Amino acid sequence: MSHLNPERLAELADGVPTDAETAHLAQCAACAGERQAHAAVIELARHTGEHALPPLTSFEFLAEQLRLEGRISSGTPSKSRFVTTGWWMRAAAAVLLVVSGVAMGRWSATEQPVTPGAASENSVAVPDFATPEEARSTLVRAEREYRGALSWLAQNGGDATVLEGPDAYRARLAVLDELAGAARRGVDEAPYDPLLSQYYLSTLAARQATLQQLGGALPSGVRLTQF
Amino acid sequence: MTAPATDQFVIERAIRGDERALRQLWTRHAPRIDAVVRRLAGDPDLAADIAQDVWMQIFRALPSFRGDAQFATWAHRIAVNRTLNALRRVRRVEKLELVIEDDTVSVEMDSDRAFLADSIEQAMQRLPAGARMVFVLHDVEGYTHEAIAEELGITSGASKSQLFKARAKLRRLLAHLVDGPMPVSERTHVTPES
Repeated sequence: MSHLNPERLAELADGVPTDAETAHLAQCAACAGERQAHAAVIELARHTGEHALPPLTSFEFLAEQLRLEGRISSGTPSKSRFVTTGWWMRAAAAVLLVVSGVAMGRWSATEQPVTPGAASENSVAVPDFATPEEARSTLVRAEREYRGALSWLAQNGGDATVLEGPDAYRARLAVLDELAGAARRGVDEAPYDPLLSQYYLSTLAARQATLQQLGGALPSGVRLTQF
Repeated sequence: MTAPATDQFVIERAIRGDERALRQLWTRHAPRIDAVVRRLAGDPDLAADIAQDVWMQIFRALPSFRGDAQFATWAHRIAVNRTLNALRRVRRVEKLELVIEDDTVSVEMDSDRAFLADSIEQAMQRLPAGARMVFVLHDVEGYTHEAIAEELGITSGASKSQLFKARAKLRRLLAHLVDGPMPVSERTHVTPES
């Protein structure tokens, strides 16, 4: 028996056979199977692929570009419930950043100075929390550790060189700004919460002090206008 | 048809520069955008570059989205156009003649979806650029041969010819997945008289 040409069978995957071809397909299981196989390939290509392979782009990278183009507004206030729970997570993340920054600074005190670049790299690794409760408990734990770390540093080497100097102050400012932003959003959401207010004011005070330190740490003749 | 309310709400916020809304759009639509870019481009590195360009264009053009079509359709159209433009730029559409090679690809049966998708992507990558684009545009994206001819600057007859050759080659490359009734090599093919 003569079979249909492969390309013709490919065409017939979604095409209409002639009368002769219809008669042939009715008698020839091989050609009918081939026609079905072509249709199956099309179906596979059509319905496989989405969600199955890793993404081609990273939103973080796109967001960076959008920020450069001014298409992402910074600090857009929102009153949605999503944001109400979201700030807890960001605040917890920011405190974690401070704690990890302090710890990293301590550990690397004799290795290399902290730079603003390094601080921004650290800030990318924001933890992902499953629930607001998890974020809150992390926040409390991190806050406790943060205070402990500060206390330890004050007693055992708060004057470590890594925590002094313009680069260290700029890195600290970057982290404090993140923390202040998260705390401010928290105060916006819960203006009568004394703990949040205290966090916010403490962060602002620390920021102000760091700015003054940075001004003092700059070489003579250089004035601080931005960091 | 209008954009779904949820999309419309997110889009309005995204236009105002809300990062969360932009991320939501990306999360919701990236898989489909990725799929078409990946298939048209063939080369994974090139696909990644193009996808980035596509998303930037989608975000930049958001204010022009009027909601009279689904966002997915609108974004998808941008993806196809930008990808074809990019491919033209890198001169990947220089030659549309199909050279069917007698090669095969080793594809084993596996129920894993990622493996299946990867097998199909790899098979598509083995098609010549022109044939792959015609196949993706026609069989996956639903373009007519006339529209493809216009997009690629070829005749609709050439589009059909490319499509059937592409299908035939893909069928061979994916033989183990579609499990044909008889090995192709053992068959004799002749076109019966109409």
